[in-house]
Amino acid sequence: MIWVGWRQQRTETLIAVAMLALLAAVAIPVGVHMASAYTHEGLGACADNVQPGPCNVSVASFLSRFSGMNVLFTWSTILPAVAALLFAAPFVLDLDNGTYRLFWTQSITRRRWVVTKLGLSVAGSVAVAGCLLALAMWSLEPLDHLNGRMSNNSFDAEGIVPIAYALFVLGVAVALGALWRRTVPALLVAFVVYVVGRAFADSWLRQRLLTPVKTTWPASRAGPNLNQALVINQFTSDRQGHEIASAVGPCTTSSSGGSFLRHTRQVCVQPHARGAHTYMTALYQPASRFWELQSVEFAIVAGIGALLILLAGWWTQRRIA
Amino acid sequence: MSDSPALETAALGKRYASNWALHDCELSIPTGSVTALVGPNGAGKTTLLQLAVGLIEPTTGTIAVLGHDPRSEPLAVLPRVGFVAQDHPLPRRFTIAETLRLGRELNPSWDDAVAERRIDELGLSRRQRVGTLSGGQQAQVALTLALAKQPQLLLLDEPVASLDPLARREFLTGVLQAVTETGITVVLSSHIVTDLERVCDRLIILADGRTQLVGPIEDILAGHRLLTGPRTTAAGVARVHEVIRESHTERQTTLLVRANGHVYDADWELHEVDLEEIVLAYLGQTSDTMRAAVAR
Amino acid sequence: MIAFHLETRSGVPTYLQIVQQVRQAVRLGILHPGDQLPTVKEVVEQLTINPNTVLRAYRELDLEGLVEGRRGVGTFVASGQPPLPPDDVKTLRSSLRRWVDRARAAGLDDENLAALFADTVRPSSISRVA
Repeated sequence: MIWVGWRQQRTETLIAVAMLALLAAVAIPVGVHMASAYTHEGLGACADNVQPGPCNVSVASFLSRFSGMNVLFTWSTILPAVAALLFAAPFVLDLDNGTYRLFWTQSITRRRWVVTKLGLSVAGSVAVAGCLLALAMWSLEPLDHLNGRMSNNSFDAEGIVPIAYALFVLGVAVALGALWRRTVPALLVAFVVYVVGRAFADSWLRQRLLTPVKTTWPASRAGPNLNQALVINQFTSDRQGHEIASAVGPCTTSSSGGSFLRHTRQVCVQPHARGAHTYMTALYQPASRFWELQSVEFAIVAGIGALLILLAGWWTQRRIA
Repeated sequence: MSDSPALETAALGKRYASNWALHDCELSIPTGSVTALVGPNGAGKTTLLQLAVGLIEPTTGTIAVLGHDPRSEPLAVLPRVGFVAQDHPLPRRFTIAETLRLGRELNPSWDDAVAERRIDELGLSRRQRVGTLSGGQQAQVALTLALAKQPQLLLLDEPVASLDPLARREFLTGVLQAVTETGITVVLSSHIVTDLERVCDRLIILADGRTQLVGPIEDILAGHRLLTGPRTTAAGVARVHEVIRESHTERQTTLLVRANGHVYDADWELHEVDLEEIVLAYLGQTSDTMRAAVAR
Repeated sequence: MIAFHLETRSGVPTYLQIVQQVRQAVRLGILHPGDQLPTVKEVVEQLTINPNTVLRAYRELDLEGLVEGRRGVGTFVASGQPPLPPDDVKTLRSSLRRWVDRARAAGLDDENLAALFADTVRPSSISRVA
């Protein structure tokens, strides 16, 4: 049965591999170039150094030269979902076009068919997501040194979260496929659910997976280094951390919290409002929590995916054709 | 040849929502026979065959295939039953060689020699993709898959419905050759009634989910007669015999009755009937009953 | 070798048609003693009929003594069943021809002629209490 299942997803596997290869073909040369530029321009020292100064210029130049990499891997986060849809297709197609009546009347139990087909789908999806995140982690290393990994594009492309989303999309696709036995609707809806789910995770869920750290500091002093953290909110406050609606506005180049981060909201206290009794409070997930947050998000998203896959398997096995 | 029937049902019924696709089905199909399962679309033929092979589950009653329940003992039934579903589904992207490999991987009782020989006899190239074959060729490949695992029972769901007459003939010849060589039991469903008598030796007529007539074709032919006579005395004759179908012209009545005896009336003639007429009469009877019920 | 043909609407059971065709072939000298009848497989291939039907026909012929089955080899026309002497066939044919001429002279067309002949020859399937 394993050969049969593999043969049925051979085309899909080749497509997925082709996509990965294409991505690698672009990312690897640029990545190599980027890594050597990072070393030669001495940006390692800048990364640890919070003070603005000559580093500002070299960092800004580096980031703008290699901004394409960020964009590339932001878009690449869709690949695990696409791969999952590809690997869901052979399973759903058998139910859709009636070939299940052929397979379920060979000398195998229905369970064996279901387990093998879904197992191969899971294996394929996880493999693609795994390769993708390995590529991302290697390619984005210099940028991660500078910007941290807590922003959405890095967080979604690295760690173990890509695998979670692959399993999630696979779960939705095969569950709907087992229910409806129509391939195109199942895959389409699965993709839509993925987009909605991702948007939800990126904009709201991720920030609250663990209770955010809340730090209050006097506005006159430099606060904690929020360079590489995931900043949820930052505002003027009293000493206890309660928000005071006050003169806050966009930052200029000289601001608290560093200038290297391009993607988080920067809120600064106008110079005239700084006084002895003004405080700043920030709500954030520190960079050190990267793996913790990854694990929690993985548990939730992959957990839902795994449940749906099991549901699809159970449904199919029990169903009255 | 064993004495126990190849397929046996007791009060078998299958319901989908509020509709009984099969109802109160009592059958016993002996080994070595070639049985035709005949009826209009929606009669329950596919339901019966799918129950036999474990694709669906009975709502009421039981079914035993080669002595085992197909749902609870799939591995006792499936290796010994060859099944070709309606429209003979096959993995379209596979080549013929890969399709045969599919059969080999999934059936421990697979005999490569049988499969290869059949494909050679059909004159097909191993490298051709199944999806590019004609309907008749696909049906033959599906039949090869079913036969090469050396089953004791062959179940065919409308195998020739979508085939041209030549392909139909070739397919049935293939089935009958398997019967010749191995003594396999065959049940084939069809809504086409020609060619039944030459191919099959038993008949099951199914309509509206119920069996209308079951038995050896020889007995059925011996047990039905066509009576023709004057319309004036038709009522009297009809009272005495079980009438399956009647038709009238101005002066003459034709009755198809269940009888093999004599008619004690000089004005009436007795004729034998061929199988196709008998089947059509039973199927017409059902739709007449339906129409009468609706009219009421 | 004899080639069988089938009349599907004749009302005669399939196996009986085969029996009759073998009988006729032997009588007319088309099949000689020792000739092999087509194997069941060959007949199935040719006519697409149930092999049980062929077996039944051959069994019937065996019981009549017209053929004998040799295990593993085939079914052969038995010896000792002399076909009609060709002279007898010739005589019968000419007397039949004379009868046909008389019937035609009496005004029977071909259809009526055939009906009369068939009615006289075939075991009657019409049962009538006179």
